[in-house]
Amino acid sequence: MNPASPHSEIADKVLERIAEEHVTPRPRWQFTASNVTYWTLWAACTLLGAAVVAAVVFETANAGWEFRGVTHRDLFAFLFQALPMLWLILLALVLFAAFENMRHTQTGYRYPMIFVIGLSVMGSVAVGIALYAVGIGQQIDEEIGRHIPLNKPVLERQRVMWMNPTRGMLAGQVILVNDLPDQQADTFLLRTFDGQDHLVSLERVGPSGRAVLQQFPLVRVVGPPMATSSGAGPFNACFVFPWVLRGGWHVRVPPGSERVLTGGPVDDDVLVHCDGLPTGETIHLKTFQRAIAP
Amino acid sequence: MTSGMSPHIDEMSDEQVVIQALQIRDMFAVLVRRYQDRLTRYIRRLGLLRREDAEDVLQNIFLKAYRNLNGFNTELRFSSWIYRIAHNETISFFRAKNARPEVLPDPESDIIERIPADLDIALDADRSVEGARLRQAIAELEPKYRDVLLLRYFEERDYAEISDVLQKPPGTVATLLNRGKQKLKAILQEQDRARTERQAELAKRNV
Repeated sequence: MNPASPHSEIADKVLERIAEEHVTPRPRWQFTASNVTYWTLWAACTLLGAAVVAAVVFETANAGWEFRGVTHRDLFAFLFQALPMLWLILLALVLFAAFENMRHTQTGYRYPMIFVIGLSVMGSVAVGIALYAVGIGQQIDEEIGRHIPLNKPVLERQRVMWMNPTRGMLAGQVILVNDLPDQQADTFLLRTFDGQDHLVSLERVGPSGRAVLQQFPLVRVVGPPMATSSGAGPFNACFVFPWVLRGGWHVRVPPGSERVLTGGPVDDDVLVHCDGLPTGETIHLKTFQRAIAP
Repeated sequence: MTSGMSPHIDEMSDEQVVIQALQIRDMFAVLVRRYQDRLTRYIRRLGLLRREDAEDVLQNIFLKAYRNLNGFNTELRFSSWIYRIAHNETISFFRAKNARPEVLPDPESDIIERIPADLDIALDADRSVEGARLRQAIAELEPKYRDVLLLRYFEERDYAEISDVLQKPPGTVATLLNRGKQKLKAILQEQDRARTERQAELAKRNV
Protein backbone atom coordinates (compact mmCIF):
# COMPACT_ATOMS: atom_id res chain seq x y z
CA MET A 1 0.00 0.00 0.00
CA ASN A 2 1.25 3.46 -0.83
CA PRO A 3 2.12 5.25 2.41
CA ALA A 4 1.29 8.64 0.89
CA SER A 5 -2.22 7.63 -0.18
CA PRO A 6 -5.24 9.07 1.65
CA HIS A 7 -5.80 5.54 2.97
CA SER A 8 -2.51 5.56 4.84
CA GLU A 9 -3.03 9.13 5.93
CA ILE A 10 -6.26 8.45 7.75
CA ALA A 11 -5.00 5.17 9.19
CA ASP A 12 -1.83 6.89 10.40
CA LYS A 13 -3.78 9.73 11.97
CA VAL A 14 -6.03 7.27 13.76
CA LEU A 15 -3.07 5.28 15.05
CA GLU A 16 -1.34 8.50 16.11
CA ARG A 17 -4.38 9.63 18.04
CA ILE A 18 -4.69 6.22 19.64
CA ALA A 19 -1.10 6.55 20.83
CA GLU A 20 -1.30 10.23 21.82
CA GLU A 21 -4.58 9.94 23.66
CA HIS A 22 -3.56 6.61 25.21
CA VAL A 23 -6.68 4.98 23.88
CA THR A 24 -6.98 1.35 24.85
CA PRO A 25 -9.80 -1.08 24.21
CA ARG A 26 -12.19 -1.20 27.13
CA PRO A 27 -11.92 -4.57 28.86
CA ARG A 28 -14.35 -7.23 27.73
CA TRP A 29 -15.76 -7.71 31.22
CA GLN A 30 -17.25 -4.20 31.11
CA PHE A 31 -19.35 -5.11 28.07
CA THR A 32 -20.32 -8.42 29.59
CA ALA A 33 -21.26 -6.72 32.86
CA SER A 34 -23.34 -4.14 31.02
CA ASN A 35 -25.16 -6.84 29.08
CA VAL A 36 -25.78 -8.93 32.19
CA THR A 37 -26.99 -5.83 34.06
CA TYR A 38 -29.60 -5.06 31.41
CA TRP A 39 -30.84 -8.65 31.37
CA THR A 40 -30.98 -8.62 35.17
CA LEU A 41 -32.90 -5.35 35.16
CA TRP A 42 -35.29 -6.84 32.61
CA ALA A 43 -35.84 -9.87 34.87
CA ALA A 44 -36.25 -7.59 37.90
CA CYS A 45 -38.83 -5.47 36.08
CA THR A 46 -40.68 -8.60 35.01
CA LEU A 47 -40.70 -9.82 38.63
CA LEU A 48 -41.86 -6.40 39.80
CA GLY A 49 -44.57 -6.69 37.15
CA ALA A 50 -45.49 -10.07 38.65
CA ALA A 51 -45.90 -8.45 42.07
CA VAL A 52 -48.13 -5.80 40.54
CA VAL A 53 -50.15 -8.46 38.69
CA ALA A 54 -50.62 -10.32 42.00
CA ALA A 55 -52.00 -7.13 43.54
CA VAL A 56 -54.21 -6.44 40.51
CA VAL A 57 -55.66 -9.95 40.60
CA PHE A 58 -56.22 -9.71 44.35
CA GLU A 59 -57.93 -6.33 43.98
CA THR A 60 -60.09 -7.57 41.13
CA ALA A 61 -61.05 -10.81 42.86
CA ASN A 62 -62.03 -9.01 46.05
CA ALA A 63 -63.70 -6.00 44.48
CA GLY A 64 -67.17 -7.27 45.41
CA TRP A 65 -68.47 -8.05 41.94
CA GLU A 66 -71.36 -10.10 43.31
CA PHE A 67 -72.60 -7.15 45.37
CA ARG A 68 -72.35 -4.46 42.71
CA GLY A 69 -76.17 -4.30 42.43
CA VAL A 70 -76.24 -3.22 46.06
CA THR A 71 -73.10 -1.12 46.26
CA HIS A 72 -73.24 0.84 43.02
CA ARG A 73 -75.95 2.38 40.89
CA ASP A 74 -74.65 0.86 37.64
CA LEU A 75 -71.84 -1.23 36.21
CA PHE A 76 -69.89 1.80 35.02
CA ALA A 77 -69.84 3.30 38.52
CA PHE A 78 -68.72 -0.05 39.89
CA LEU A 79 -65.94 -0.47 37.32
CA PHE A 80 -64.75 3.09 37.91
CA GLN A 81 -64.19 2.27 41.54
CA ALA A 82 -63.24 -1.39 41.25
CA LEU A 83 -60.63 -1.26 38.51
CA PRO A 84 -57.21 -0.91 40.13
CA MET A 85 -56.15 1.92 37.82
CA LEU A 86 -53.08 2.98 39.78
CA TRP A 87 -51.81 -0.58 39.87
CA LEU A 88 -52.46 -0.89 36.14
CA ILE A 89 -50.56 2.35 35.47
CA LEU A 90 -47.71 1.03 37.62
CA LEU A 91 -47.80 -2.22 35.65
CA ALA A 92 -47.55 -0.31 32.36
CA LEU A 93 -44.55 1.65 33.67
CA VAL A 94 -42.82 -1.49 34.87
CA LEU A 95 -43.42 -3.26 31.56
CA PHE A 96 -42.07 -0.25 29.68
CA ALA A 97 -38.96 -0.32 31.88
CA ALA A 98 -38.60 -4.05 31.14
CA PHE A 99 -38.89 -3.33 27.43
CA GLU A 100 -36.27 -0.58 27.58
CA ASN A 101 -33.85 -2.76 29.48
CA MET A 102 -34.17 -5.62 27.04
CA ARG A 103 -33.71 -3.22 24.13
CA HIS A 104 -30.37 -2.18 25.63
CA THR A 105 -28.99 -5.70 25.79
CA GLN A 106 -26.54 -6.65 23.05
CA THR A 107 -29.12 -8.17 20.73
CA GLY A 108 -32.35 -7.00 22.35
CA TYR A 109 -33.09 -4.52 19.56
CA ARG A 110 -33.74 -7.42 17.19
CA TYR A 111 -36.94 -8.41 18.94
CA PRO A 112 -40.14 -6.60 18.00
CA MET A 113 -41.75 -4.50 20.70
CA ILE A 114 -44.80 -6.75 20.75
CA PHE A 115 -42.57 -9.77 21.42
CA VAL A 116 -40.60 -8.09 24.21
CA ILE A 117 -43.70 -6.67 25.88
CA GLY A 118 -45.56 -9.96 25.34
CA LEU A 119 -42.74 -11.95 26.93
CA SER A 120 -42.65 -9.60 29.92
CA VAL A 121 -46.43 -9.64 30.26
CA MET A 122 -46.59 -13.45 30.10
CA GLY A 123 -43.78 -13.77 32.64
CA SER A 124 -45.41 -11.23 34.95
CA VAL A 125 -48.87 -12.77 34.63
CA ALA A 126 -47.67 -16.35 35.20
CA VAL A 127 -45.59 -15.47 38.26
CA GLY A 128 -48.18 -12.92 39.43
CA ILE A 129 -50.99 -15.48 39.45
CA ALA A 130 -48.76 -17.88 41.38
CA LEU A 131 -48.02 -15.12 43.93
CA TYR A 132 -51.74 -14.36 44.20
CA ALA A 133 -52.52 -18.04 44.70
CA VAL A 134 -50.18 -18.29 47.67
CA GLY A 135 -51.60 -15.14 49.24
CA ILE A 136 -48.81 -12.70 48.46
CA GLY A 137 -51.15 -10.56 46.37
CA GLN A 138 -52.88 -9.46 49.55
CA GLN A 139 -49.63 -8.53 51.23
CA ILE A 140 -48.52 -6.51 48.23
CA ASP A 141 -51.88 -4.80 47.94
CA GLU A 142 -51.94 -3.88 51.61
CA GLU A 143 -48.30 -3.25 52.46
CA ILE A 144 -47.32 -1.44 49.28
CA GLY A 145 -50.73 -0.26 48.14
CA ARG A 146 -51.32 1.85 51.20
CA HIS A 147 -48.19 3.88 50.41
CA ILE A 148 -49.29 4.71 46.86
CA PRO A 149 -50.82 8.19 46.80
CA LEU A 150 -54.59 8.30 46.17
CA ASN A 151 -54.79 4.55 46.58
CA LYS A 152 -56.37 2.42 49.27
CA PRO A 153 -56.08 -1.38 49.49
CA VAL A 154 -59.22 -3.12 48.27
CA LEU A 155 -60.15 -4.64 51.64
CA GLU A 156 -59.87 -1.26 53.31
CA ARG A 157 -62.18 0.21 50.68
CA GLN A 158 -64.59 -2.68 51.18
CA ARG A 159 -64.57 -2.30 54.95
CA VAL A 160 -65.32 1.41 54.73
CA MET A 161 -68.02 0.85 52.11
CA TRP A 162 -69.77 -1.79 54.22
CA MET A 163 -69.83 0.12 57.51
CA ASN A 164 -72.76 2.08 56.20
CA PRO A 165 -76.16 1.30 57.71
CA THR A 166 -77.62 4.49 56.23
CA ARG A 167 -77.08 2.87 52.83
CA GLY A 168 -78.41 -0.47 54.07
CA MET A 169 -74.99 -2.11 54.19
CA LEU A 170 -73.18 -3.59 57.16
CA ALA A 171 -70.25 -5.95 57.46
CA GLY A 172 -68.21 -7.31 60.30
CA GLN A 173 -67.80 -10.19 62.67
CA VAL A 174 -70.68 -12.18 64.05
CA ILE A 175 -70.35 -11.76 67.79
CA LEU A 176 -73.42 -13.45 69.13
CA VAL A 177 -76.36 -15.25 67.60
CA ASN A 178 -79.52 -15.90 69.50
CA ASP A 179 -80.95 -19.45 69.32
CA LEU A 180 -78.61 -20.42 66.54
CA PRO A 181 -78.79 -24.23 66.98
CA ASP A 182 -82.36 -24.49 65.76
CA GLN A 183 -81.90 -21.69 63.22
CA GLN A 184 -84.77 -19.77 64.74
CA ALA A 185 -82.67 -16.78 65.74
CA ASP A 186 -84.37 -13.48 65.37
CA THR A 187 -81.37 -11.24 66.09
CA PHE A 188 -77.61 -11.36 66.13
CA LEU A 189 -74.87 -9.02 67.16
CA LEU A 190 -72.47 -7.78 64.52
CA ARG A 191 -69.24 -5.99 65.29
CA THR A 192 -68.21 -3.74 62.41
CA PHE A 193 -64.57 -3.10 61.52
CA ASP A 194 -64.48 0.14 63.49
CA GLY A 195 -65.38 -1.81 66.64
CA GLN A 196 -69.04 -0.76 66.89
CA ASP A 197 -71.62 -3.38 67.73
CA HIS A 198 -74.90 -3.45 65.81
CA LEU A 199 -77.95 -5.47 66.64
CA VAL A 200 -79.24 -7.06 63.44
CA SER A 201 -82.72 -8.46 63.03
CA LEU A 202 -83.08 -11.66 61.05
CA GLU A 203 -86.85 -11.63 60.71
CA ARG A 204 -86.76 -11.23 56.95
CA VAL A 205 -83.76 -13.48 56.37
CA GLY A 206 -84.31 -16.92 54.86
CA PRO A 207 -82.67 -20.20 55.89
CA SER A 208 -79.69 -19.80 53.57
CA GLY A 209 -78.84 -16.43 55.07
CA ARG A 210 -79.14 -17.89 58.57
CA ALA A 211 -76.90 -20.77 57.59
CA VAL A 212 -74.24 -18.25 56.60
CA LEU A 213 -74.08 -17.12 60.21
CA GLN A 214 -73.22 -20.64 61.27
CA GLN A 215 -70.52 -21.16 58.68
CA PHE A 216 -68.70 -17.85 58.33
CA PRO A 217 -67.13 -15.61 60.95
CA LEU A 218 -67.34 -12.47 58.83
CA VAL A 219 -70.51 -11.51 57.01
CA ARG A 220 -72.05 -8.76 54.91
CA VAL A 221 -75.61 -7.81 55.66
CA VAL A 222 -77.97 -5.99 53.33
CA GLY A 223 -81.20 -4.39 54.44
CA PRO A 224 -83.31 -1.25 54.23
CA PRO A 225 -81.22 1.87 54.88
CA MET A 226 -81.44 3.19 58.44
CA ALA A 227 -82.16 6.83 59.14
CA THR A 228 -78.96 7.23 61.15
CA SER A 229 -75.83 5.14 61.46
CA SER A 230 -76.41 4.57 65.16
CA GLY A 231 -80.15 4.66 65.10
CA ALA A 232 -82.37 3.13 67.68
CA GLY A 233 -83.58 -0.38 67.05
CA PRO A 234 -82.01 -3.20 65.17
CA PHE A 235 -80.77 -3.14 61.60
CA ASN A 236 -83.34 -5.12 59.61
CA ALA A 237 -81.42 -7.59 57.47
CA CYS A 238 -82.85 -8.94 54.24
CA PHE A 239 -79.77 -10.83 53.09
CA VAL A 240 -76.72 -12.19 54.83
CA PHE A 241 -73.67 -13.03 52.72
CA PRO A 242 -70.34 -14.44 53.78
CA TRP A 243 -67.32 -12.15 53.69
CA VAL A 244 -65.13 -14.36 51.55
CA LEU A 245 -61.49 -13.52 51.04
CA ARG A 246 -60.12 -14.65 47.69
CA GLY A 247 -56.40 -15.20 47.29
CA GLY A 248 -55.59 -13.98 50.76
CA TRP A 249 -54.66 -15.49 54.06
CA HIS A 250 -55.42 -12.85 56.62
CA VAL A 251 -58.72 -11.22 57.39
CA ARG A 252 -58.59 -8.30 59.75
CA VAL A 253 -61.19 -8.80 62.42
CA PRO A 254 -62.87 -5.94 64.24
CA PRO A 255 -61.03 -4.65 67.30
CA GLY A 256 -61.84 -6.45 70.52
CA SER A 257 -63.01 -9.63 68.83
CA GLU A 258 -59.89 -11.53 69.78
CA ARG A 259 -60.79 -11.04 73.42
CA VAL A 260 -64.08 -12.86 72.90
CA LEU A 261 -62.32 -15.80 71.28
CA THR A 262 -60.02 -16.51 74.21
CA GLY A 263 -61.26 -18.26 77.30
CA GLY A 264 -59.94 -21.72 77.91
CA PRO A 265 -61.51 -25.07 77.10
CA VAL A 266 -64.79 -25.11 75.32
CA ASP A 267 -67.69 -26.54 77.19
CA ASP A 268 -71.12 -27.09 75.73
CA ASP A 269 -72.70 -26.18 79.01
CA VAL A 270 -71.06 -22.76 79.34
CA LEU A 271 -73.47 -20.08 78.39
CA VAL A 272 -72.43 -16.63 77.27
CA HIS A 273 -74.39 -13.65 78.31
CA CYS A 274 -74.57 -10.65 76.06
CA ASP A 275 -75.13 -7.24 77.56
CA GLY A 276 -76.25 -5.85 74.24
CA LEU A 277 -79.20 -8.18 73.98
CA PRO A 278 -82.39 -8.35 76.07
CA THR A 279 -81.89 -9.98 79.43
CA GLY A 280 -81.95 -13.72 79.45
CA GLU A 281 -80.92 -14.30 75.83
CA THR A 282 -77.90 -16.57 75.81
CA ILE A 283 -75.90 -18.75 73.50
CA HIS A 284 -73.75 -21.81 73.98
CA LEU A 285 -70.10 -20.86 73.85
CA LYS A 286 -69.17 -23.78 71.59
CA THR A 287 -71.86 -22.80 69.11
CA PHE A 288 -70.59 -19.27 69.17
CA GLN A 289 -67.01 -20.37 68.54
CA ARG A 290 -68.13 -22.53 65.66
CA ALA A 291 -69.82 -19.52 64.17
CA ILE A 292 -66.71 -17.40 64.22
CA ALA A 293 -64.19 -20.15 63.51
CA PRO A 294 -62.39 -19.85 60.15
CA MET B 1 3.24 0.53 10.36
CA THR B 2 1.53 -2.19 8.42
CA SER B 3 2.02 -0.84 4.91
CA GLY B 4 4.20 -3.78 4.03
CA MET B 5 1.68 -6.33 5.09
CA SER B 6 2.09 -9.86 3.95
CA PRO B 7 -0.63 -10.92 1.49
CA HIS B 8 -2.41 -13.17 3.92
CA ILE B 9 -3.68 -10.16 5.89
CA ASP B 10 -5.82 -9.18 2.93
CA GLU B 11 -7.38 -12.61 2.98
CA MET B 12 -8.31 -12.37 6.63
CA SER B 13 -11.92 -11.66 7.50
CA ASP B 14 -12.74 -8.48 9.40
CA GLU B 15 -13.54 -10.56 12.45
CA GLN B 16 -10.11 -12.22 12.32
CA VAL B 17 -8.47 -8.80 12.00
CA VAL B 18 -10.39 -7.60 15.06
CA ILE B 19 -8.93 -10.44 17.10
CA GLN B 20 -5.47 -9.56 15.82
CA ALA B 21 -5.97 -5.84 16.47
CA LEU B 22 -6.74 -6.57 20.10
CA GLN B 23 -3.27 -8.09 20.37
CA ILE B 24 -1.35 -5.81 18.01
CA ARG B 25 -2.56 -2.22 17.86
CA ASP B 26 -1.19 -1.53 14.38
CA MET B 27 -3.41 -4.22 12.93
CA PHE B 28 -6.29 -1.83 13.49
CA ALA B 29 -4.99 0.15 10.52
CA VAL B 30 -6.12 -2.72 8.31
CA LEU B 31 -9.70 -2.15 9.36
CA VAL B 32 -9.36 1.60 8.92
CA ARG B 33 -8.16 1.11 5.36
CA ARG B 34 -10.89 -1.35 4.56
CA TYR B 35 -13.68 0.93 5.73
CA GLN B 36 -12.58 4.54 5.42
CA ASP B 37 -13.86 5.06 1.86
CA ARG B 38 -17.17 3.33 2.47
CA LEU B 39 -17.73 5.17 5.70
CA THR B 40 -16.75 8.51 4.17
CA ARG B 41 -19.38 7.98 1.47
CA TYR B 42 -21.90 6.89 4.06
CA ILE B 43 -21.47 9.88 6.37
CA ARG B 44 -21.61 12.21 3.35
CA ARG B 45 -24.85 10.58 2.30
CA LEU B 46 -26.15 11.17 5.80
CA GLY B 47 -25.60 14.85 5.07
CA LEU B 48 -22.18 15.59 6.52
CA LEU B 49 -20.64 17.38 3.58
CA ARG B 50 -17.81 19.58 4.84
CA ARG B 51 -14.58 17.73 4.22
CA GLU B 52 -12.97 18.76 7.53
CA ASP B 53 -16.03 17.76 9.52
CA ALA B 54 -16.29 14.46 7.68
CA GLU B 55 -12.66 13.70 8.40
CA ASP B 56 -12.99 14.56 12.08
CA VAL B 57 -16.06 12.39 12.38
CA LEU B 58 -14.35 9.58 10.50
CA GLN B 59 -11.41 9.65 12.91
CA ASN B 60 -13.78 9.68 15.86
CA ILE B 61 -15.61 6.69 14.41
CA PHE B 62 -12.42 4.67 14.23
CA LEU B 63 -11.26 5.78 17.67
CA LYS B 64 -14.59 4.79 19.13
CA ALA B 65 -14.45 1.49 17.30
CA TYR B 66 -10.99 0.81 18.69
CA ARG B 67 -12.03 1.76 22.21
CA ASN B 68 -15.01 -0.60 22.01
CA LEU B 69 -13.32 -3.37 20.09
CA ASN B 70 -13.91 -5.85 22.92
CA GLY B 71 -17.60 -5.08 22.73
CA PHE B 72 -17.84 -6.21 19.12
CA ASN B 73 -20.39 -8.98 19.09
CA THR B 74 -19.14 -11.71 16.78
CA GLU B 75 -22.77 -12.65 16.02
CA LEU B 76 -22.81 -9.49 13.88
CA ARG B 77 -20.82 -8.65 10.81
CA PHE B 78 -18.05 -6.21 11.57
CA SER B 79 -19.35 -3.99 8.78
CA SER B 80 -22.76 -3.70 10.50
CA TRP B 81 -21.08 -2.86 13.77
CA ILE B 82 -18.85 -0.13 12.37
CA TYR B 83 -21.68 1.29 10.28
CA ARG B 84 -23.69 1.53 13.49
CA ILE B 85 -20.88 3.50 15.12
CA ALA B 86 -20.64 5.70 12.01
CA HIS B 87 -24.36 6.36 12.03
CA ASN B 88 -24.44 7.22 15.73
CA GLU B 89 -21.34 9.42 15.56
CA THR B 90 -22.74 11.35 12.61
CA ILE B 91 -26.07 11.89 14.32
CA SER B 92 -24.23 12.96 17.49
CA PHE B 93 -22.21 15.42 15.41
CA PHE B 94 -25.38 17.02 14.03
CA ARG B 95 -26.85 17.23 17.51
CA ALA B 96 -23.71 18.69 19.05
CA LYS B 97 -23.47 21.32 16.31
CA ASN B 98 -27.22 21.79 16.26
CA ALA B 99 -26.89 21.36 12.51
CA ARG B 100 -29.13 19.81 9.90
CA PRO B 101 -28.01 17.27 7.30
CA GLU B 102 -27.28 18.90 3.95
CA VAL B 103 -28.35 17.81 0.51
CA LEU B 104 -25.60 16.18 -1.51
CA PRO B 105 -24.39 18.88 -3.91
CA ASP B 106 -22.46 16.80 -6.39
CA PRO B 107 -24.61 14.35 -8.29
CA GLU B 108 -23.94 10.71 -7.68
CA SER B 109 -23.82 9.35 -11.17
CA ASP B 110 -25.80 6.25 -10.35
CA ILE B 111 -28.43 7.78 -8.08
CA ILE B 112 -31.22 7.05 -10.56
CA GLU B 113 -30.23 3.42 -10.92
CA ARG B 114 -30.23 3.04 -7.16
CA ILE B 115 -33.81 4.16 -6.74
CA PRO B 116 -36.04 1.10 -6.63
CA ALA B 117 -37.93 0.26 -9.78
CA ASP B 118 -41.08 -0.50 -7.78
CA LEU B 119 -41.44 3.21 -7.02
CA ASP B 120 -43.03 3.41 -10.47
CA ILE B 121 -42.30 7.07 -11.12
CA ALA B 122 -41.88 8.79 -14.42
CA LEU B 123 -38.32 10.09 -14.72
CA ASP B 124 -37.17 12.88 -16.95
CA ALA B 125 -34.76 12.01 -19.72
CA ASP B 126 -32.28 14.54 -18.35
CA ARG B 127 -30.40 12.51 -15.76
CA SER B 128 -28.79 15.49 -14.05
CA VAL B 129 -32.20 17.11 -13.54
CA GLU B 130 -33.62 13.87 -12.20
CA GLY B 131 -30.57 13.32 -10.01
CA ALA B 132 -31.04 16.71 -8.37
CA ARG B 133 -34.76 16.04 -7.94
CA LEU B 134 -34.14 12.70 -6.28
CA ARG B 135 -31.49 14.08 -3.96
CA GLN B 136 -33.83 16.85 -2.91
CA ALA B 137 -36.66 14.37 -2.36
CA ILE B 138 -34.48 12.05 -0.27
CA ALA B 139 -33.33 15.02 1.82
CA GLU B 140 -36.94 15.94 2.52
CA LEU B 141 -37.69 12.52 4.00
CA GLU B 142 -37.87 12.10 7.75
CA PRO B 143 -34.52 10.77 9.06
CA LYS B 144 -35.99 7.39 10.02
CA TYR B 145 -37.02 6.74 6.40
CA ARG B 146 -33.95 8.32 4.88
CA ASP B 147 -31.61 6.21 7.02
CA VAL B 148 -33.24 2.97 5.91
CA LEU B 149 -33.39 3.96 2.23
CA LEU B 150 -29.74 5.01 2.25
CA LEU B 151 -28.60 1.77 3.80
CA ARG B 152 -30.76 -0.38 1.53
CA TYR B 153 -30.25 1.27 -1.84
CA PHE B 154 -26.99 3.16 -1.49
CA GLU B 155 -25.02 1.00 0.93
CA GLU B 156 -26.72 -2.17 -0.37
CA ARG B 157 -27.26 -3.68 3.06
CA ASP B 158 -29.79 -6.44 3.58
CA TYR B 159 -32.60 -6.20 6.16
CA ALA B 160 -30.66 -8.04 8.89
CA GLU B 161 -27.67 -5.73 8.47
CA ILE B 162 -29.86 -2.61 8.48
CA SER B 163 -31.47 -3.97 11.62
CA ASP B 164 -28.02 -4.32 13.21
CA VAL B 165 -26.87 -0.87 12.08
CA LEU B 166 -29.95 1.04 13.18
CA GLN B 167 -30.72 -1.27 16.12
CA LYS B 168 -34.30 -1.80 15.06
CA PRO B 169 -36.13 -5.11 14.60
CA PRO B 170 -36.01 -6.46 11.00
CA GLY B 171 -39.80 -6.17 10.78
CA THR B 172 -39.60 -2.48 11.63
CA VAL B 173 -36.89 -2.03 9.00
CA ALA B 174 -39.16 -3.59 6.37
CA THR B 175 -42.03 -1.33 7.40
CA LEU B 176 -39.85 1.80 7.36
CA LEU B 177 -38.47 0.86 3.97
CA ASN B 178 -41.92 0.36 2.52
CA ARG B 179 -43.27 3.59 3.98
CA GLY B 180 -40.11 5.44 3.02
CA LYS B 181 -40.58 4.43 -0.60
CA GLN B 182 -44.20 5.55 -0.51
CA LYS B 183 -43.23 8.88 0.99
CA LEU B 184 -40.45 9.37 -1.52
CA LYS B 185 -42.92 8.66 -4.31
CA ALA B 186 -45.38 11.14 -2.81
CA ILE B 187 -42.70 13.85 -2.60
CA LEU B 188 -41.71 13.25 -6.22
CA GLN B 189 -45.33 13.34 -7.35
CA GLU B 190 -45.84 16.58 -5.45
CA GLN B 191 -42.77 18.01 -7.18
CA ASP B 192 -44.25 16.92 -10.53
CA ARG B 193 -47.56 18.56 -9.73
CA ALA B 194 -45.87 21.82 -8.66
CA ARG B 195 -43.74 21.79 -11.81
CA THR B 196 -46.78 21.24 -14.04
CA GLU B 197 -48.62 24.10 -12.34
CA ARG B 198 -45.64 26.40 -12.80
CA GLN B 199 -45.40 25.49 -16.46
CA ALA B 200 -49.13 26.08 -16.96
CA GLU B 201 -48.86 29.47 -15.30
CA LEU B 202 -45.92 30.44 -17.45
CA ALA B 203 -47.80 29.35 -20.54
CA LYS B 204 -50.82 31.44 -19.48
CA ARG B 205 -48.61 34.50 -18.99
CA ASN B 206 -47.02 34.03 -22.39
CA VAL B 207 -50.46 33.84 -24.00
